[in-house]
This record gives sequence, structure tokens and C-alpha cells, in this order.
Amino acid sequence: MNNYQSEIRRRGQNLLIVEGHHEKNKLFWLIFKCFPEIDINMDEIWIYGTNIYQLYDDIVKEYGEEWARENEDIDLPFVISKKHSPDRLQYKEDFINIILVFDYERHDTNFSEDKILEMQKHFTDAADMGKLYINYPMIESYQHLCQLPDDNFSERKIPVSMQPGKEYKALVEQETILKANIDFPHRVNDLLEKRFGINDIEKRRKCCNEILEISSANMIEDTICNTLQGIVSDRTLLTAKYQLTDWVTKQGYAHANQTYWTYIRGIFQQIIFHNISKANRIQYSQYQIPSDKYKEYFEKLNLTEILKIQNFSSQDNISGFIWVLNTCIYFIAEYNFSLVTD
Amino acid sequence: MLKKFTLKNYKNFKDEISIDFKNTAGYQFSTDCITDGTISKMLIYGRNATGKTNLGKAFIDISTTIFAGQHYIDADIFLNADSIDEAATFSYEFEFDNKELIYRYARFSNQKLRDEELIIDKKTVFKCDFANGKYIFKLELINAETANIETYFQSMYIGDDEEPMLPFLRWLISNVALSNDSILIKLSNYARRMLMITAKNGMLKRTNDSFYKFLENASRLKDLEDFLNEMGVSCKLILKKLPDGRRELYFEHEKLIPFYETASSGTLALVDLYRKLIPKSWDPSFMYLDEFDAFYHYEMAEKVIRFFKKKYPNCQIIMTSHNTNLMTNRLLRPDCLFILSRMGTLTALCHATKRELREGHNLEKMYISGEFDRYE
Repeated sequence: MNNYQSEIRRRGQNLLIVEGHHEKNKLFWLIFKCFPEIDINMDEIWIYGTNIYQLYDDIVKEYGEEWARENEDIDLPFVISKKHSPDRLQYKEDFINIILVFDYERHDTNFSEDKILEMQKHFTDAADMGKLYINYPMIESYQHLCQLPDDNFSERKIPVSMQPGKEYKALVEQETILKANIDFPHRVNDLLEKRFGINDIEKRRKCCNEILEISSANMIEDTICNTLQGIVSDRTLLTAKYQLTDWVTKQGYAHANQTYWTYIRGIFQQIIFHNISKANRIQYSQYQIPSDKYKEYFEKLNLTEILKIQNFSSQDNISGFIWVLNTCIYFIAEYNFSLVTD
Repeated sequence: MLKKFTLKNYKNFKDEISIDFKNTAGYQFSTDCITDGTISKMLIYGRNATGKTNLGKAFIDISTTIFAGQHYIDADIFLNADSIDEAATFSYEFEFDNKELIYRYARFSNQKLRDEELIIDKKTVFKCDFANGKYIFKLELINAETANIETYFQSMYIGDDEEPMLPFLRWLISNVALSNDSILIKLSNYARRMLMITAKNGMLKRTNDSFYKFLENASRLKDLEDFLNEMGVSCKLILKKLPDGRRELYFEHEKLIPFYETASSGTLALVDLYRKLIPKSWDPSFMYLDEFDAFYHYEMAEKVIRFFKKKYPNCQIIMTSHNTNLMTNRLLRPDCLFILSRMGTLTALCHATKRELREGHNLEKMYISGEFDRYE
């Protein structure tokens, strides 16, 4: 410590504003793992749970009712930190990404077409004020593919009457072919902990990583053995080996000569393509996109227009419907479209 | 145009640093920053003491090599202080009428040349390795085979005292009859019109009388006044000839106010810029404007850049600044905005992040929040 030291500014932070929902953190964790180019460490990210109407009220409190009309430059880290840790204020100048992810909760008692539209119109840049991604009807829609590719995704919608969220979740769980892939790291972790008794978090994390990094079919058994050697007893080692080998084989990544992460990266890319096509279907009534034109079409999408269409088609409580669409997955494509096409 | 400049072991640049003016990223906005596919308006940011001024000095080193004169060479530390290399190397790649010309040389700390080479369309025209006494001349490539090289060897050490040695290129240009369309004439025309303007040297001092003489013409004085007004300083000027023959510039009010004694730093800086550019009978080919807007209001800085773009569309202008307000796609573009790092690397914003930069991005905010901090 010398005489001239002052408080060090911490730049380059990331803020993820979600509905206090575990699923969202899990999805972003996986995204950042599979797309290391984005260079966000999930352990260092500031995750803030709220709902969109609460956040709207907090903005009003700081900037007034007219914030949207007056095009105020909203500082979300400031708004949030002022509310929760006023002695340690944060400013958006220190954040390189501000991501807002909310479900389109039509049945929410606070639901307001105007408010949600204002939010969608104003939060359009993750590198600046922040970007709002609304998922229709919920975050789980990113898994709502029944095969790959899934052309029926084009017309996939749910009735407004399908509520609460639990019902949609159950539907996705029943129809998705992606859940097993997406959940795999957590399942391996649980297996190592609960079945094979590896209680040390660090050790378990290391084992998981090594298993997920296997990228060749004939390395599966050896890698699993080496990884678990000395960590589980010799007797369990054999069981563990057989079980994990079976699991890894079923996942298919090692047989495709890819690590789990590159394999899932490929799946994410497909999810993104499906959702670009779908959004184009919603906004421009065209689902099929020439394979070399995705970027061009993607740039023409307008999340506000899509929200308006969703608002319109879901107005009627009985006959209304919501197009199934996941937009938060667009974060990757927006960051750099080449991440989606490599 | 200068296509590429490479520098090594000069002042704070221990490792090689290269500026490639052809490395554009195809943005469809602020296209007036690019001329014939080459970056022509560049703005460099960087923390203090990263070498922005040194870089400018390095750029215009070629003009002191080709033309005599100590104008820009400073006698102080020349080589990098952490390097064991004995010489600093400079390499300039030009393009004149679709021909590529590379001129490169290395200088010892006493600023004597170690070697010197000229390559045109990949063919070596001459290569002088002074340190080892090895020479290659293929002057027929530039139709200069009649040059009497012996004369050069006789005169190479007989410069004035301040010049340790005569560079061969300088001798060639000034002693051999070259046709007007010779590429060497083009090079010499380019190098002769390279300028470096810093915020320091004498800027705020009273100007010499020749500028006042220039302003004696009423339309010229009006032009200066227009310039100041357009840039955001509203004033009315008047020039008077004093009984002793000197001229004096005033702000016109009920009473006359002497200009140099009272003008603000910003106004003086602006007049200094004007004085260095406008009275010239030629347009610069290259300008390095170091901290060009140090005294300017942010709006004035923006106006000055717009003025440069309009007045000098073909001139390769490199500006340095700390004014992040200029870091915007409205005025510039991510392939023309650079960060000079403490490590001596120079990176365009579009290469300083994996994020795809778009027109709508708020580059200033991104810079401040650390988007590019690996390259700072």
C-alpha cells in the first residue's frame, strides 16, 4: 500500500438479470461454456433475480414515469445496486454485457402490454444499456424441438389457456429430444456425488470436466478409468466405468470425435437456426431460409415487432395462442454471427 | 499512399509494431475514412505514456531520411532502452499508381544508417549494407543506370556535421535526373508533404509576422474568421499595422482586444492548426496530429475532424486523442479507431474484441467499460 492508491475500478463486468430462476442460469452457463469466445466466466457474473414489472417499477422510481418517452439512458447496474447495496453503487460504465431474460408471462397479474413493449423497445444493446430477451412462452422453449431438424417447429404454438408455467414445462419435457444432452453435465455430477460418493467439489468438477472433454470413442474407457482412479474405490471403479462409458456413448459426442462442449455447440447452433427461422415465420410469414442467408434474415428481425404480434395473437383468453420462440439464444448470434456458422 | 508502416526497436517500441492501412473491415458507414481501399482517417487512443507521440515521430522519420535537415530528429534517446539491438528499423510500403514501393532502413543510435533498401514491385533496386560494405545496385529498374555511383561514395561522408552519413536514396533523388513520372519522384513528393503537428511545440506562443502578412489580405482574414466561427469560436477579427511596421491581430469589440494575449487556449490551438495548414501552397500527403484536440470542446473536436475529412479527403491523417467522445461510428469506424497498448501493440477496435461490432454499437461506452481492455 502506498500513499497514492485509491479504489480500483473493476471494469469488464457482466450482469444477467433473470426471473430468479435456476433454468436461466443453467442455460447461460452452458452457452458460455460452449462458446468460450464470448469470454464470460459464469462464476464472476452478477446474476440478479427480479421480474420484468418489478424492474420496470424500479426504473420508474429512478427515472420517472416518462423514462421511455424521454429516451432516458437507463443505468441498470445503478438502479439495482442503489436498491440493494446503496453503499456499493455500480454503474453500467463498468459492464460489458447486460442481459435481461424474462418469460412472456401473459397470465401474470402485473402483465401490461405497454410496459413490456416499452422495455423491449429500449433495451436493445447488451453492450450498452442492456438487451431484453423475452422467451415465448418461457425459457424452456429453447429445448422445444422434437427432432433435428424439426420442421414442425414452424407452426409450434401453445394456447393461452395453457397455464401455469408448470404445464408448459411438462409439455417440453415430454416432447424434447435435447434435454438429455443439455442436462448431461449435471447428471454426471450428480452420479459422481450421489452414486459414487465423490464429495469433494473440486475433485468432482475435475472428473466431470475430464469426462466431458473426451473426444474419441476409443478413449472413453481409459479416460474414465484414469480420471476416477484413486478417487473412488477399486470395486466401484468398475461399475463407474461401465455406467459412465454407457452414458458417454449414448450422448454420442465422443463417437463424433468431439468434446461434449463442441458437440453441444453444434446443437446450440441448430437451436439458433430453428429460432431464426421461427421468428422470420412470425414476423414475415416465411419459415424456410436459404442456408447461406441466415445472417441476412437474422439482421432483419425485430424483437419489438415480434412482441406486438405475440401480444395480438394471445389477446383472447380462450382462442388466443403464443408462438413458441426462444430469443435469449440470439445472444450468441448477436455477439458474433460467425459463432453460429463455424 | 502509404500502405503499411513497420517499426522496431525505436524508443518505447521494443518489439515490431506494424500499421496496415489496407486492413479495412468493409463497414458501410463513415466511408469517408477510407480512400481507395486505404485507411485515410485514423484515430489512436491509448493510456498516457504508451508512445503515441513517439509513433508520430517514427512515421515521419522517412522525411528526414529522404530530405536533409534535423527538423524532426531529436538528439535524445533513439533506440529502445531495453533492447540489445544496435539499430532501429523502419519499413514503409507505398502504393503509387498500382506499383508497390518498399523503402526500409535501419539506423544506429547515433542515427547513422546501418543499411538501406529500396524494393519496387518485389525487385530490389538497391541495397546498401553500410556496416559491412556490401552494396547491390540495379538502378536500371528505375531508368537511373546512368547514375555515377562513385560520386555517391565520394560524397557519402561529407554532409554537414549534424548528418553522419548521406542516405543513398536522398543522393539518388537529388543528384540523378529522373523523369517526372518516376516512382521515386512520387515517393519524394509524398515524403516531402508529411507533417507532424503536436499540441506542444510553440503552439500557444505568438506567431511570426509572416502569418500576419498572410492575413493582410482581407479575404484571408475573413477565411480565418469563418474557420474559427465554424469550429465554434464566434469572434470578429481585425488586423492592424502599427506605426513601427509590425502587425497585430485583434478581436474586434468597442475597444480592440489584442488576440494573442487574450485568446483562450482552444482558440490559440485552433489558430495554430490553421496557420500550419491553410497558408501552405500544397496539400499534405500525410499528417500526424498528436493530441490534436487537447484544448478543444468535444464538439469542436468533432468539427475539426469533419473539416479534415472535407478539406483533405486524400490525405492520410492519423490523430491521437484522449477524447472518447470521438469514438463513435457517426464520425469514424471500428477499423479506423485504434488502441495503442502499454506493450506497444496497436489494435483496431474491430480486432480488439471477439464481438462483431456494428454501426449501432456505442463504442465509447464499450471502451470505457473494458470491452477492449486486453488490448489497452
